[in-house]
Amino acid sequence: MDRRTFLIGLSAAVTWLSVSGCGRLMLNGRALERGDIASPRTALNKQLVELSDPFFSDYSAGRSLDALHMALLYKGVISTHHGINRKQVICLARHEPLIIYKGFYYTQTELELYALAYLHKDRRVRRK
Amino acid sequence: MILHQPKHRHYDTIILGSGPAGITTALELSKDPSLEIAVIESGLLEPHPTIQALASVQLHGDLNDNYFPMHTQRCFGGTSTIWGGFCAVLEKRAFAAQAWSLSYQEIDRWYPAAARILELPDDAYRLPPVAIEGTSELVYKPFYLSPPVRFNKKYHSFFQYHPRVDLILGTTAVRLITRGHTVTALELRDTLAPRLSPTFVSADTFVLACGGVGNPRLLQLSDIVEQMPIGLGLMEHPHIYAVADMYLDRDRLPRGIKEDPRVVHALQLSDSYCIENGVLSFSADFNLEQMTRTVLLGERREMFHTPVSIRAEIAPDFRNSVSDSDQRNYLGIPMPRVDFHYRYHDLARQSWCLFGEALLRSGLGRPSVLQPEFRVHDGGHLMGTTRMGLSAADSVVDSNCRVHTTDNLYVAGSSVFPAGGASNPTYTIVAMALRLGAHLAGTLKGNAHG
Repeated sequence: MDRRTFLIGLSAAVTWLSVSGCGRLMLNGRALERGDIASPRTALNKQLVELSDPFFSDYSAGRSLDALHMALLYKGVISTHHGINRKQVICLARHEPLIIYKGFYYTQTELELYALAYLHKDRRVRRK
Repeated sequence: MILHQPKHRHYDTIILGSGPAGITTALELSKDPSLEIAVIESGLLEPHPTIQALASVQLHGDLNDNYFPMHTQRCFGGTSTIWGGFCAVLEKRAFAAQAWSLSYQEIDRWYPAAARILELPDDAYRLPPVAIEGTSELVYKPFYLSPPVRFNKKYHSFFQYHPRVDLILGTTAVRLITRGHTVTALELRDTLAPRLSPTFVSADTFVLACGGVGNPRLLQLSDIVEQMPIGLGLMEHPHIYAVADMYLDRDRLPRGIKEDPRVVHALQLSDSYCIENGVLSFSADFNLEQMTRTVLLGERREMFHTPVSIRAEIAPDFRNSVSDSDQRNYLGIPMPRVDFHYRYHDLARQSWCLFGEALLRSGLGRPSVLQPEFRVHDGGHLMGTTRMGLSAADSVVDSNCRVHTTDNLYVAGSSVFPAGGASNPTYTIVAMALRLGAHLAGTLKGNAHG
């Protein structure tokens, strides 16, 4: 194979990977499930941005984004694939003690989720 | 016919008091063309300051100094002359818990006719507490507003022209005359001429419709007490205004609820939830005025943000009572003494916590905490002082509102309520007065034929 043929072939392969979305998978270093082509992480990001509210900045103070992320992943409340599992939030609400925050009642999972959303957006803003 | 002194004659039925209970009982009885009826009213067509003083009491406890005589109007129309018009059917909780000695259906069947008297919307009595999808703990149970109907205005011409129904004004009953278990006559005084000799009127049947203080007082003054708990267990509805906030998910509220000046929106703990958890009925009023986007259970949603006012049930407590005072009114009759304490603050916090948990866990909305300090207001609803029950040992009237120890003395009004629910009582008072009127008409007809 000459150099010209190799470059054309490489270009075609990169184009295919880019169109099919696999580029992101390759860059992330892991594979996604079949049919999960539309960027799932973007969906979760979008949901967290939607939930983000400075009202919860006090609750998020001193908490770690990664720790909250892991805790909510562990509870099945968020997933990289499917975003926020609202049914799970509702299900957990039936068993968790209620917490008073700024004069209103919340479940613990709710507050963790809103704190995650606030910290998530806060980090994105800082990066910009 | 409207009279200012009693006729010397015998009636089939004499009704004492011309408020909603007394007038409604008369309306229903008058449908029987064979009955001659008298309604005796201590006051006149319009309020009179001297007569109104007869409604004063010696007050001990939480009720405001101006509670009496404001909530015990002594004039034609009674408290309908001042009421606000709030109407809601009673909760079923107390019936399921067997606090009442009759079934809920016994009252429920009279609500349609009561709605017509109170000029409520057609669907006011048909709308049951609406279940909210996804929860069995909360129900939507609105209040409907009567115009409000003033019974004195609405039924003036009825009394003025009815050939068999006399409205006797300015005449105060001071004692029931009994022979054995039968009430035979009433001792009456001219309300504005106390020095005149008393007069007496007789009837086959007597109905007390003098309110939550007047009814037990006349029984006490007539020595018809025996072992019955007359005057004991006085109940009111504690009202706490704008004591909390809540967000409500617009999409989870029952379809069709909307801004309507004749509807006061309210959520309640469901009857089944109250029974399972041993709590009393509890109503949280809200409005649909302010919309906002906020978070709820992991989602940002369109929510109503509303202040909450609470209207609640308290249990009958025999320390709350109507009894003799050491003072007399200008007719020389011992004034009533009213002892009443709400003892509601702890119960309010407990009920709100349960309500709040149910609200949030059902995904219907988010409650705020209750304000740390709040003042309990009254509703002007005097209930439970001649309570209904199965026996004279623990109650005053039976399920037909007849005083246990008499053959022919009945009580109308919310004084017979053994449990007050969380709903304003007038709608039920009117429904039960219709039921009583129909019962008496049947009984008297039976006597006439028998």
